[in-house]
Amino acid sequence: MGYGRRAWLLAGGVVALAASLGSVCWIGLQRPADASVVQSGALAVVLLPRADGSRLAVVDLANARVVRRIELRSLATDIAVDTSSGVVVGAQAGGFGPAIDRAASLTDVRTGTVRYVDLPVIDPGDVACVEGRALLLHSTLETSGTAFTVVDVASGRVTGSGNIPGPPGLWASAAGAVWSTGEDSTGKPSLRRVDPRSLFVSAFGLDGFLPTGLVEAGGRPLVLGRDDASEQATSGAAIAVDPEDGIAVFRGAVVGLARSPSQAVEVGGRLVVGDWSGDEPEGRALRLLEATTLRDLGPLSVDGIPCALAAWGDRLLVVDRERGRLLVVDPVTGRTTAAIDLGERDLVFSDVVVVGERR
Amino acid sequence: MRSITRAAIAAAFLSLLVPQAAFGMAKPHIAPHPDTTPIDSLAVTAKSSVSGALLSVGSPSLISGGNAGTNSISFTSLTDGDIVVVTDPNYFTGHAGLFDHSHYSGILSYAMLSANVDPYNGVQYEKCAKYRLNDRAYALRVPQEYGHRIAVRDWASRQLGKPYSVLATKTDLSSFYCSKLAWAAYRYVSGVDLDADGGFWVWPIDLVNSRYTALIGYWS
Repeated sequence: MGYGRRAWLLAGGVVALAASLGSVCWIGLQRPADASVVQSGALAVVLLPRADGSRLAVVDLANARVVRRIELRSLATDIAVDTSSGVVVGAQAGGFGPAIDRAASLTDVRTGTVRYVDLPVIDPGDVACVEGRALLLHSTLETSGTAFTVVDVASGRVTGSGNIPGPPGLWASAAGAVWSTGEDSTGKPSLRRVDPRSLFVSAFGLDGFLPTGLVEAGGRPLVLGRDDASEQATSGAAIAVDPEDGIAVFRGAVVGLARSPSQAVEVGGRLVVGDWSGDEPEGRALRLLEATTLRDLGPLSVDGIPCALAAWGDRLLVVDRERGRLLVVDPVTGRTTAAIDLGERDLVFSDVVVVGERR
Repeated sequence: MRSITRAAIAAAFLSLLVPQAAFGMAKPHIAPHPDTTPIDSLAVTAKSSVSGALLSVGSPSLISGGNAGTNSISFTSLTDGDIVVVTDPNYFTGHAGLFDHSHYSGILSYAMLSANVDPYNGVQYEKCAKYRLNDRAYALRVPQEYGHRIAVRDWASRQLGKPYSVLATKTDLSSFYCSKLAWAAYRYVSGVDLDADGGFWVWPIDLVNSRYTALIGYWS
């Protein structure tokens, strides 16, 4: 009886030792490759929203695999990358009630370290980065308009705040400034430009154009939407705006989508436009436009529900909401060259940014 | 022929009295809650059945949303003045907001009028995406003319910036909490009292249980 027990203990000990040695060897084999890529290679950072704390999945694009997962302290509803430092800034809006948050997360995805900057106003829902500054738009409406806060990414300090007129709208960086959509005093759609240094806000009319998306393309702000008078949500359009005077430079029709266009990214001289809005039935279609003239080049099919887009060189990155994958797509042939499992399916929404190669 | 006419008149009369009988989905049965202060109600726990699944209901406070799960609420079918209530299994109170279609451009747009916590914060536009991060979402409509719903929405938007308070009376319009904003908008524009059980507080779930709201969508 005693010998039998010892034998079992011995066998168990051997198995445990082998397992730990195996784990150590596996980690030892894996870590150097990951570490070098994480330190210098191009990375895609995908926001995986969770009510109790969103996560960032860091993807090594050269080797098409997830190399790091970073947990954030609360729900983040938007991320943006500060291109000067490679720091990913998150708008930590949190949930409702006690779960609400009022912070910006500053994540160095190469080391996995996260700093939090507490903001003077709650509920930062959107973030845009310009010239080492992160501008966060809050949902809080004050008498002078919707509040935004400026965070210096390097020092992690709040360096300014301001208001844009009216309720919060779309928020994006383009042409060295931050742009927002909203309404003028008569309730007509307008576009506003926020100077990141002086925080001066200038407004331009959109002439009855209802904005449903706002991105940067060709070094200019690009407003996606539809005409106010149009009953058809499918009759969308894209307007490239001169960043100096707010005048429309080009206008192109966006056809073949189920809804008004809401997202776009410029990839190798082409503009990939999508209509995912979070509503059912979810839009699966993407459309290609010539980036400078906004001429329609036809549809682009991807294997999934494209809820977030980004560009990596001449490749298109697509977050497949349904199956929780990051797709790497050649926008010319439409071929998916890699499909990376992000580890979570049925994302309720997401976002993706690219942290470029470190030279 | 006369009996058909009589039945039609009766149905029309019934629909005026009980709007959800006229259209909308069948509402889940949710056990009534005590209309006590948020602090007093901390220990309250009850269980009820929703669509065959057990709904565990606790009630930490009127301002809480548990944020314990996700739902796939779609805002396409919503119109101005519709109310969205979200709840979690562990938190009975949940959260409520009033939909403003004129500000809607997708799940990431700020189109939900509500009130939220913090000492100096209050009525605001919230991001629709946040309403997906609770276990259950109910979309409610108060059957009435579209122009009326616009007026309700506009009344709520005029309260923007007013402070948050859970301790003021329902009729005190100097401050709001989430469900009180939706309740007050209908109470003062349409004269409809959406508080299912009356009392000092109007809980988000009171709006679901109200005889004047029709359930037009449920997501889990």
